[in-house]
Amino acid sequence: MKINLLPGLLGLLLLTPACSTKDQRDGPPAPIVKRGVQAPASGPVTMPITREAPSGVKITAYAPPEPIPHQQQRAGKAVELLIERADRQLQAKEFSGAVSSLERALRIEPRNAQLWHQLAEVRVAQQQLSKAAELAAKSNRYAAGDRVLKYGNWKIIARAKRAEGNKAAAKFAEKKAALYR
Amino acid sequence: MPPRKKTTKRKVSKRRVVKKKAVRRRKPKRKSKAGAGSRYAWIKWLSGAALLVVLLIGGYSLYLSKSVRVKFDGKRWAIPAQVYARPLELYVGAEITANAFSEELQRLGYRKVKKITKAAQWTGYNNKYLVRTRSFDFQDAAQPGQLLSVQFDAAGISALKNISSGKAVDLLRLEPPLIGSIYPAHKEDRILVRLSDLPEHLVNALLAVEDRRFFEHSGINYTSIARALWANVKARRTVQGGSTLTQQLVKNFFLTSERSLWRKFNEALIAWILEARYSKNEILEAYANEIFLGQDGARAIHGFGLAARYYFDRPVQELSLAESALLVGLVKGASYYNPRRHPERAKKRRNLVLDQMLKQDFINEKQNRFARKKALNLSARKRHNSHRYPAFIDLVRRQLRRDYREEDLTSEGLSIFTTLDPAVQSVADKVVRQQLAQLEKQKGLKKSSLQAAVVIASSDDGEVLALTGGRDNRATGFNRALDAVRPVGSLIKPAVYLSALQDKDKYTLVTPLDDTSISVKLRNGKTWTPRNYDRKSHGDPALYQALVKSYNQATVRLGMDVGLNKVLGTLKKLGLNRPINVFPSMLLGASAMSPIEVTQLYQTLAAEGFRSPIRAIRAVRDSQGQELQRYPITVKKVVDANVAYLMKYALVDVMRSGTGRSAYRYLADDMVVAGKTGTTNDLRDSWFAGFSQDMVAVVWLGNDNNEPVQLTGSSGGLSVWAKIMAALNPLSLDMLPPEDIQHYWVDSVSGRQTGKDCDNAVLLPFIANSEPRQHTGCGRSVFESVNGWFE
Repeated sequence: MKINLLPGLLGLLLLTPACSTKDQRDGPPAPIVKRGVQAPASGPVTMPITREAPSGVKITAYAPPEPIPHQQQRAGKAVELLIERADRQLQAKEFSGAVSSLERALRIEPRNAQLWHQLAEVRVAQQQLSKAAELAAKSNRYAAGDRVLKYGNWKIIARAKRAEGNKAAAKFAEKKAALYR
Repeated sequence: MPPRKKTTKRKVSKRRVVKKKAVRRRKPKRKSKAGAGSRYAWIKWLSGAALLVVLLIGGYSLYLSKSVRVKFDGKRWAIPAQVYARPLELYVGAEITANAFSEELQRLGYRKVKKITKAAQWTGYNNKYLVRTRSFDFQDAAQPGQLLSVQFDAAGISALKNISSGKAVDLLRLEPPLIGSIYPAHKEDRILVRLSDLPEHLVNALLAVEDRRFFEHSGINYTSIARALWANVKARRTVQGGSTLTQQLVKNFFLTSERSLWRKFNEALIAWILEARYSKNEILEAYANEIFLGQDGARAIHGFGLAARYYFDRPVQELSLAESALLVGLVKGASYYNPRRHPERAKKRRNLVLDQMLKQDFINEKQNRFARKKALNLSARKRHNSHRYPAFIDLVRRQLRRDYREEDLTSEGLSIFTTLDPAVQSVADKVVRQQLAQLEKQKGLKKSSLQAAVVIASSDDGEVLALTGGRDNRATGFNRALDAVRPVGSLIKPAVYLSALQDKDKYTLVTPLDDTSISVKLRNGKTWTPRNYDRKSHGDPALYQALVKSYNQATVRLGMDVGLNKVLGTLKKLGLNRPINVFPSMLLGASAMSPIEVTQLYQTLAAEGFRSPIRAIRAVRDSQGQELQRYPITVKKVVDANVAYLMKYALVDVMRSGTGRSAYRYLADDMVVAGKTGTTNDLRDSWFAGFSQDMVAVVWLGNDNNEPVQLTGSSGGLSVWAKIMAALNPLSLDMLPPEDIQHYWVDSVSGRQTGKDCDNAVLLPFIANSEPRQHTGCGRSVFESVNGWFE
């Protein structure tokens, strides 16, 4: 589009208020809630679909999720223990043991991207690449802003697609991985 | 050596004969001589006959011995597969209430005591519990038993400590509760025990009452037979049996219940053979596993292992003196002395056993007195655990059948580790019972006419947490969760809308649909005119609105536009395996499915496009504890995550403002859930399928004889679903969008972008670059208006 100077200057002047509209577009993400923990009712909540929403559902603009107090650390230790155990088992090539530990952890925190990723790694070690790719995709869904994890996941997917002979998909996955390098 | 000359022999014999003949001729025939000769003959005949009999018996014994060996050595019994529910995981932060914890302990047969002295005991009050856990050998890691202190607060477990070491415990698995067995067609059920498993009291009681000289005799106790014979003769009928444990074993194990002399003879012989071939310990062990100790409906209880579970709900090792005495008392007549039917008789018999033990110095006065005073202490449940979850065990059986033959399941002593969560199951069963009665009352339906099925599974991995096959879930019989194949009605609609949304350039949540009446020409020449539930047309609602309000006309138009085959493709992706008719009526759910099949579809939706097979089993182990098979968590991405998110969002709105909103009569306002109602023609089926963050649940209500139940999905299935969810208090949906999703305020009438405080404004998610380009102008910032000059 051709920018006329005057409207452009006006636009620049009004840049500040425009910033607020940008937030609306991104939409308010909900606080990341770990299994075993209920999101505090006072935090920002999405789900304002209709104006006639029942009371209690606040419609707010984006705000970074409040860190959930000590509750957040509650389920953490048990899962940490299992992650460590799974790591050891993977190192020792005790694959079914590693899978057991990770599945146990997943039942405690099913939305933990790290766990899904680790499970994918075990499947890679077992040469079960297509299974690994599915698990990596699942991990990506919950990975939110974790770039390291997303990178790892896309690399696994790329590797699986290459093994399948699907060059196009492998290329796509490698491109995605590169975004998070 | 040179051959002897035959002639010499002949000569000798001739001579002998001649001699004999000569002797005979000389001596006169006298009667006495003849008697002496025939006496010898008689002895000879007798000894010949005796030899023959011995040979016969010997030969028969050999033959018997072989078959005894075959039966006794090899697979001695058909050991049914033991089925376990999920083990409860304890960790700080676990959302387990103190109540739920004590219920689990009860399920495991733990006893509440004043002071803990051994495993499987607990004590506690308020929110602090002390428990000594049993150990369990999990495949991946053995979990040793320990003395544990568990503390609870409002959120769940707040502290976990090993008392002996003083250290905090990060994670601990209780042993999985035994919930049943898969026993064979001839309906014998048993839990195999080793001799070392039997408590000393039990063995002593057995010896005291049934076979005093077991360790000394050789299979048959002649004095006891003589005594019994005398008693029977005196009474002129059979009043006493003189059988040893060995003979009783033989009776039970090998032979049917014929009572003939030939049978007695066989018994004696086999008893001898057993004693000869096998040690006393082996025989005793076999006895302990074989003896008939009760009848539970069609299921025969054999062996002390199962009897301990059946009567006292605990493993045989934990039986007390009084309990052991009771079980031994049952040997004489399990039905006659049945403690549940004839408690007084059973108590008398038990005390008689105790007295015998005292008489024979197996116990002392104090022990005898103490045990006699005890109440029978039978387990509260009338029926053993295996009858508590018949619907779920039915599912387990069917899923196992894919990999195991029926004979293996019922005879190899396998251990099956399942996904069942007994706490969730309890809630489901209770709500179904209560709510069905209430609905019948409300609607004036005939009592006990309404039936239901419920399936609850874990959203992210498809594990079945609970399965309710009918209103009375303890009854075996028609398993509606697996076999009630009914038209699903509007439950099918998400598949139609999902198919449309996959074409993101053509359809978004705000795309206007046409809800005017429609007539579809069918292949058979007839016309089909589907109508909305309220008989009205609603103009051109936004796509999400048509789903939320479940408009039939708009859905059929959409489905015909998208194409029936595409909708079928989506259904298959969601996990439908059953072939269905690809007719226009499929768009409104004329296709019939079972509740568990519907659960698979909604699990894929709940997991945002990642399908995990609905699964009841985690692992199978053989009788030695070796793992035979694992059923790991698997996922398959079948629907694009962005499209799946749009669908989830719309299904949440169904609950907020659509046909699912009456759920909030029971749910907390801030609980975010998603779901869909389903009603069929003439209100014959009332469905609801929905999910929270961690659980997906499907409810079906209807009548077995297919009569209308006058309930819509909202008024029927939903009420059951919502009450179950309210009781389970699952996690709220967190609504975290995938990367390519952005939210915009749009005008639901025009479909244009708008300001959040404007008329008809709704916040909706859109896949990047599919959002509406135009703006209503309301609530727009100056910059945006300026920008608009360049569009």
